[in-house]
Amino acid sequence: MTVRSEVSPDGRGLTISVEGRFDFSAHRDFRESYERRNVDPDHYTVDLRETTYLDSSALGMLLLLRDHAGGDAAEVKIVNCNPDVRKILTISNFEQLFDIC
Amino acid sequence: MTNAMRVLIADDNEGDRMLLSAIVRREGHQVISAVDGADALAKFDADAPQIVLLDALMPNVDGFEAAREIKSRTRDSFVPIVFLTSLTEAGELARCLDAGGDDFLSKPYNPIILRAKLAALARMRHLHTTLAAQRDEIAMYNTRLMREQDAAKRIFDRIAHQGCLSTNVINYLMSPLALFNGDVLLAARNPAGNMYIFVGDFTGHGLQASIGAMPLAEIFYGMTPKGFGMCDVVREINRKLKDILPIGYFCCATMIDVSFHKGTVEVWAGGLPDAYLYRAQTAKPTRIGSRHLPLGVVSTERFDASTDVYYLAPGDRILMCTDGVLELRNPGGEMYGTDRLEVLLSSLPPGAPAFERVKAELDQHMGSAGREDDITLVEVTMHDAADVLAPTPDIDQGNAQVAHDWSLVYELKPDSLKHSNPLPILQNVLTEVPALRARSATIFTVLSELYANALEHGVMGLSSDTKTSANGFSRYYRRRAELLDALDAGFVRFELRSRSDADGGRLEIRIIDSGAGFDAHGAAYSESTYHGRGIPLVRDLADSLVFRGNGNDVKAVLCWGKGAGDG
Amino acid sequence: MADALDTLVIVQLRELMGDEFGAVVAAFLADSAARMKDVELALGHTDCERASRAAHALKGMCLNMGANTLSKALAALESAARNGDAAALPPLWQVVQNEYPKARAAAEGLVRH
Repeated sequence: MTVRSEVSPDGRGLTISVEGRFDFSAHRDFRESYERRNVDPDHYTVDLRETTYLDSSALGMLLLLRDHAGGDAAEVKIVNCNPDVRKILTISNFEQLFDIC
Repeated sequence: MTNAMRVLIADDNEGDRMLLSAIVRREGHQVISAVDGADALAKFDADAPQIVLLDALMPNVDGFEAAREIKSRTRDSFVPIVFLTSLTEAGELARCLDAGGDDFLSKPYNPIILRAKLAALARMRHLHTTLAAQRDEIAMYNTRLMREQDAAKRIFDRIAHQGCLSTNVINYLMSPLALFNGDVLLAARNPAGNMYIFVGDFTGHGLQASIGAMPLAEIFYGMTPKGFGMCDVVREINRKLKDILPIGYFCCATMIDVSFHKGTVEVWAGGLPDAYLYRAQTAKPTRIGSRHLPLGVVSTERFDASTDVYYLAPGDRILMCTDGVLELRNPGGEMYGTDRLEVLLSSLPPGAPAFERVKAELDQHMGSAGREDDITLVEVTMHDAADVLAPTPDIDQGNAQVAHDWSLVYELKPDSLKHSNPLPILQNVLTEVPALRARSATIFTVLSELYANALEHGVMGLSSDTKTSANGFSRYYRRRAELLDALDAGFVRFELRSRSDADGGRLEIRIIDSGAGFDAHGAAYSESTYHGRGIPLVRDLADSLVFRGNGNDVKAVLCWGKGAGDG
Repeated sequence: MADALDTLVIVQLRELMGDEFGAVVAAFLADSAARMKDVELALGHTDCERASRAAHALKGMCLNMGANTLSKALAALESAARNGDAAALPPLWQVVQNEYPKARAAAEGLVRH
């Protein structure tokens, strides 16, 4: 499980990628990837291309990110979901809170 | 300088004994002398030395024997044994250590070496004592913790499990991973006799997951018997959980309102895996998906309490489960999964219950693998209202024969129509009267059906034509929510009158609304359609039901005994 | 001629035992005499087991007294006896018997003052 983050060239966007199992063990790394930054992005992207598995603690982490990003005013995109990950996000109806592609 | 210790010196040679004693005493320790192995054991029991110096070869129980014996007597404490030896062969020295010796001291005795060894052994002793004390403290703490958890669990069970889970309607399996269950299963009857069932799965498991279940259960068991609608209950639960749970924690849940009278199941689903509806007449199961976010995620303003309604005949069933069921792994690491479940449900003969089959398959699938999550599985079967054991009324016939005579007028204008539910309040007032309490189910049903009629068809002008299919229900309720939100004129007025004497009594419920009226006598009462089931039901339950005006004025009368007075 | 008793050992012993020095030496004299008899008896019966044990005990005493040459001889005797090598015993015992009086005399000398 690895968490990587990258700021966009214009400094307005932050992309966080999670490789492997997105579960409770990712908690600290995921949080640090957006908290410990001296940038203040307008929008966030969570790239799940390499994510093999997602559980309810990952959903919780996404909610924490959304809250950090401004709650209801946040712009958080979740991209590159494989079918299993997609299914979990769909059952929880997270597309009501996140932009899922 | 090591703290003074009691040192036992056993050597059959007087000169050696004297020499060693002198050295040890010089280090500030107290010496106990023994002349052979037997003497050493006797002195060991009597004086409890902290370190033992043993000559390896002694008559009358040699050093090896004595060492073994001493070690067996000190299983819980640590008494170091040092062999005194002029043995030089490695094999012989190893034998000393095998016999339980912790070190050996060669002749000629070197005071410096002996001092170093005594210090080292004293440190080992201290370490051992510290570890033993910590171990005991941990063990005691653990025992206390288990006791506390046990007590907490008993309180928890009493709050969370007061409901009606064991009825002929519900079959369930709850298998928590640990002492506290992160899954919740609640069931209760509302005053009309409907059954509300709540299945929930809190994030995580164990105590920190289950603690949210306590306020949730309180709300559920508090509001349901008062007559609140399922939407009110689920909205309140969401509000409470949003309030107390930290961000990132939530409760995936499905709540259903089963009406045996009307043969309907109303569903609110947020975050749990699909539920399945399978009918006695057809083999293929229908998936009921979750439309909402889990509870505790969004604020009350954004919360969507809209539901879907399904029509069920007696014998039709709904199966709900938490994700622990689908994610159950077999020894090979494969999950049980939705495919397997759907195959099983499709393979059932029509009308057969799935519950036992699913349970058996889960057991078989899991095999020797361990569980990783709480498991909850619930099957609800639709019955005829008559077959469902009635909720036990509050038996307090003591004052039943006391005469009473009162009336009440309660009018709601748009702000109240939008935001408050008059039914629990009125139900509460009415059931204060002992004679009425025994009929609370009937009263509630009459009140709620007539009120719904007055509000929806009367004040808001909704037509029940849309309620002809499952999809139609949700469109209807969406429209209802829109209209209610926009309401700025109109009223609903309740006029209640209740009288009784020693022989009997009557309750009159009159509801007047500001609407344009409706065709109360039209084709809306056909039994084969979804809509309009409320009015015929009231007609069955009440002793009389009369519509006046242009249909916006209705009076239902319930009598008992000889029925006091006039109409 | 090397000293029968190692001077360094004696010095340390004296310093360590203080007033009890004389008692330790006396104990050595008494115990060692008894042990020598034990060995002699055992050899007389060709009891290798007993001979070995007695030689071992005597060897230990001698080490603490600094009687190094004597204790080496006893080590050899002990070893042979333990191995059951009866033939080797008489000459080894002879060496011990030669050395013992020297050590004894040296010890007696320590307490005469």
